[in-house]
Amino acid sequence: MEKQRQAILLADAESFYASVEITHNPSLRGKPVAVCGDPALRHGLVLAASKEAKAYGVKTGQPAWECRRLCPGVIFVRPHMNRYLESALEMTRIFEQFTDRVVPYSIDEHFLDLSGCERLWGTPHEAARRILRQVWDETGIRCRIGLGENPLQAKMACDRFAKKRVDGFFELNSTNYAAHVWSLPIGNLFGVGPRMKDHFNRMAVRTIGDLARLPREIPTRRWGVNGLLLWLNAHGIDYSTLQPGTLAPQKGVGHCATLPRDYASRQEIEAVLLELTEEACFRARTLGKMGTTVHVYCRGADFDHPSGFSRQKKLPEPASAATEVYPVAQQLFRRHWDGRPVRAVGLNLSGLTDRRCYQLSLFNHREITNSLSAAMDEIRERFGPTALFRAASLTSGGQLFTRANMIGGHEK
Amino acid sequence: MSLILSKASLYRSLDIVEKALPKESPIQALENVLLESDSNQLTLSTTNLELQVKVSLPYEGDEPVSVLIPAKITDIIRFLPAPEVKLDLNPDNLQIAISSGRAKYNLFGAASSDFPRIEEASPSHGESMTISSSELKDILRTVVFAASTEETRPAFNGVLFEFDAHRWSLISSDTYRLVFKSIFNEAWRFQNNRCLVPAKALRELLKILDQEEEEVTLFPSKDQLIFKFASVYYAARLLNEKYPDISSVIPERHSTRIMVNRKEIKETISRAALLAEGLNNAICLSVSDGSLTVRVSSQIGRMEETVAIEHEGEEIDLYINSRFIMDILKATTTEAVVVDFHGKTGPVIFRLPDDEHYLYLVLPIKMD
Repeated sequence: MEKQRQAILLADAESFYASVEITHNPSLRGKPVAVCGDPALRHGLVLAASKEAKAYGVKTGQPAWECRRLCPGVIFVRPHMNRYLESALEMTRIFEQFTDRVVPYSIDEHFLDLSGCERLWGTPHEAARRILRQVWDETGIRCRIGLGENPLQAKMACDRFAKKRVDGFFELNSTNYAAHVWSLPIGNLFGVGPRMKDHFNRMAVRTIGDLARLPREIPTRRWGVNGLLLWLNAHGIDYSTLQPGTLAPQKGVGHCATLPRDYASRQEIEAVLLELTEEACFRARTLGKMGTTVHVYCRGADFDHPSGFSRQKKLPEPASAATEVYPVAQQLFRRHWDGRPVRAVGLNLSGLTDRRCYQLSLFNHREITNSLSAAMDEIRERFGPTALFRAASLTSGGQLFTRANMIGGHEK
Repeated sequence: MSLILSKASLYRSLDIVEKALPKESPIQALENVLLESDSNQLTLSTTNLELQVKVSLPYEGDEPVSVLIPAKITDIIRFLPAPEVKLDLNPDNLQIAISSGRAKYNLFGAASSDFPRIEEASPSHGESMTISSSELKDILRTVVFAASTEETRPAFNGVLFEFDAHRWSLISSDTYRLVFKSIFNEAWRFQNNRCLVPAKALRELLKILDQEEEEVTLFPSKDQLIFKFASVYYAARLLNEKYPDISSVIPERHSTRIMVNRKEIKETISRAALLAEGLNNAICLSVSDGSLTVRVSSQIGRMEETVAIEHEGEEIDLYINSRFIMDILKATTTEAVVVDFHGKTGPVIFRLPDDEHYLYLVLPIKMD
């Protein structure tokens, strides 16, 4: 029997945050809109721009002032992360009407496996058109779809071609991949960032085709498995599937907080570190996990002279209580902080293991810490994340109350 | 200075002092072996500041010698072709000429002024004990393995020695398990004293105690514990950490007691351990009338095996780290072991039928 051809789709929502804002305020349609944190603050960065704003050169990640200079008539809209999550879930629900093999890739990108669905939805091209129309009709958001025989081809088809086409659709397959992709600059290949692009350029590899035509041993010898992977990408080969388990189980929990101003005092930074520890431990507990390693990250305030550190340490034993994790985090911070002002602090708990199964210890009464944590979780569950907090959150450094109103570092 | 030595005895001495030789040290002098002579003996010494080792060799000569020899000397002596070694030190340029059979070396020595002086301590009145090397070895082998090798809790990197009148007791633990061992000897007369000896120094000591039967003298001195045997002076710097009180962790009454053939259970557990995985190497032990069942189930598969036992008390089943059990079964040599259980989450205590002053306590794994 001939092996069935895979039909993998990548659906991407156009200017996702901006599109959602426009659906909530139709008067914005057709105008240059930028979703942006408080333009007066330094984390006032552009999170998304409508296609009218993009026409002026506005890009994601630009500071608000630069955006206004490029496009004086721009309309700034503050982010509403709750709305975006809702819209994303709504889109997932629509995709799931077409196939049960839907894998969210980011907040506005989903992989869909439509292999073997021809009798239901027609050719993948026809199915894609139906999906685009249904998403538009039901959510008012314009999507683009890349079709390929594997996730890589779908992603390349979407990012490099479908986004530029009026019908928002493009197909790559093993037959046409080289013809379409090889002439593109190497930086356009999935997996090649600015640093990798420089490396390739120094090897006189300027286009994706240049890489594809190299013997595979050259990138493999230089970068190991990653080099081989990029070479395969250049040929449109991707062995990954969308089966469950494609997305590795969560390895760690944690957050990074950009501070409202530069913190120079140890007390202030440690107050944030403690809050982040509480948050990471809470998330680990919700997943039914404990962490074995804590990772602390600090970024210095001075852009021109990058400073800061990123260090990790194994915990004496797996833990999911802040009282056990924080001393180690604090120790890491005190050992590695150079005393210069800090702009962002991050903490991550990794090496997650099952929380219900643990080695009992002679001098650590985990039952007591466990029931204390459970009680704290219950209070926060019922009365909100700020119902119970550590006194450090009331000090000048505390960020708990600001962060409680945010999702992913942006306003709810 | 010029002398002729047997290759075997010189190599053995160097192998001993190598235990305290740091691979890398901020004080460069420490990466060498100090060779010194006094009136009638030659000594080799090393230190990593935590451990000091000194070995003496017979020597006849009156020139005083003091020179640092590169650590490579151990391997050089080891691979020499002939059974005899001739050493010549040139006091003017500190070069050491080594010759044995066809092989000739010329090593560049260095002045010993940066090397810390090792003052040999001697026991103060009534503070020393003597024990045969084989007995000491047996004791340490059944105790030291339970100490932690993780650096997160420094106190547990040590073995606690307690001396009290005629009793010497040792406690070692990594917080999940604990060994408690006492030895009595009417000849010992200690004043009450405790010291926390780095387990690492004791593990190294075990490696060099393996030769013929010797008398070992052991005594604390200021911040060190000193072992003296044959021509060896072995001083371990004590850990300055607070060791927790363990009196409350050993329960008085057991709910279940079994006796099992050590060799049999050892083989069973090592078969089960093949499937035990994860951080905890968990296996399940179930005791019911007259038999002990060992079970494992993991992502690879399942195994089950039953061993005959003598059993009194309640039936029980619990999860436990298989590695912790293997450690005791490997370290001991008795025909049988006695195991006491104290409920599903209470400690499991291993005892040796012929030694009432030894116990090994392991806490089980909790499965909620």
